[in-house]
Amino acid sequence: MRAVIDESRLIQQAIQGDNRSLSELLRRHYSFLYQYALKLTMDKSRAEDITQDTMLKAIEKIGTYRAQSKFSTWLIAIASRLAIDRGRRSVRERKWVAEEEGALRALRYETLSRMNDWPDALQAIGELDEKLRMAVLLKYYYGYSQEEIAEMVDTPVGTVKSRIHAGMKQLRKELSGHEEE
Amino acid sequence: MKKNNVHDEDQQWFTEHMGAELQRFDDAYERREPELAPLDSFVASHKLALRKKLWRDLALFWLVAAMLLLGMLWILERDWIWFAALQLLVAISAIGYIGFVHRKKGREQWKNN
Repeated sequence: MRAVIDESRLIQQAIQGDNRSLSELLRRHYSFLYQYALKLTMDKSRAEDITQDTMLKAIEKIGTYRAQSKFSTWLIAIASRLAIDRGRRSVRERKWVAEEEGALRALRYETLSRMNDWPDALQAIGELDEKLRMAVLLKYYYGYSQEEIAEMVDTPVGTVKSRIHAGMKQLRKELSGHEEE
Repeated sequence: MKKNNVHDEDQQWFTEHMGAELQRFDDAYERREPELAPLDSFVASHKLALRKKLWRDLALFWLVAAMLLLGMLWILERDWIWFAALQLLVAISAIGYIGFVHRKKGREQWKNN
């Protein structure tokens, strides 16, 4: 309860322009934001870039934050939009697929040393298209509703619904394949 | 971690097959909170850079506006027909440009959804 009160006070002060409060808020959410970016991109260097850019954007836009959603939700929305924009740019530069595969391999290698394991679940989620992965993670891992996700990523609800459906279908298929093996 | 308590079949499947592994993954990549002092100076320096950029943009805007205004006044003084023609041309171009950007944006959004 105290943490919630503290956070809402920090938010108010940050909106009013207090640098120290904004720094404290960003510090508290840093790891959460990085973990989201890493699951979303499955690429360490992109996750670091997105985390850094999200923090810069948050500093820029803190005056427009209305505190109707949680601060973490606001950060996730910024990070998601940045990831979509960057994905769009990379597709335009036609370097997407090879980079994505290389990054997933590198992440797998590092995760093996950190967790002593590379679970099928991570491989399956890593193989999803990023937009599907985003929708599935936000819905089932972070627990947002379809309407909230649609608002966060500025996409129609129907599109979010179909991304979740397609993502879950592919995940079930991948994991049932692994189980059969 | 979860915000809403959604219980449907997909949710249950996801929690059973993915939830624990993703949680382990999160734990494995948990990062230490950065020090407050460097973060504080990062925030302050970025805000300062933003403010500088804002002033620069504002100065540029006023400079261009003043030049345009002076140019228009000069043309008006020389020949009002030229002035009216130029105004009409600018208005048509602006409407055309806005329409083009709007259509392009709409098409890109449709393609990306």
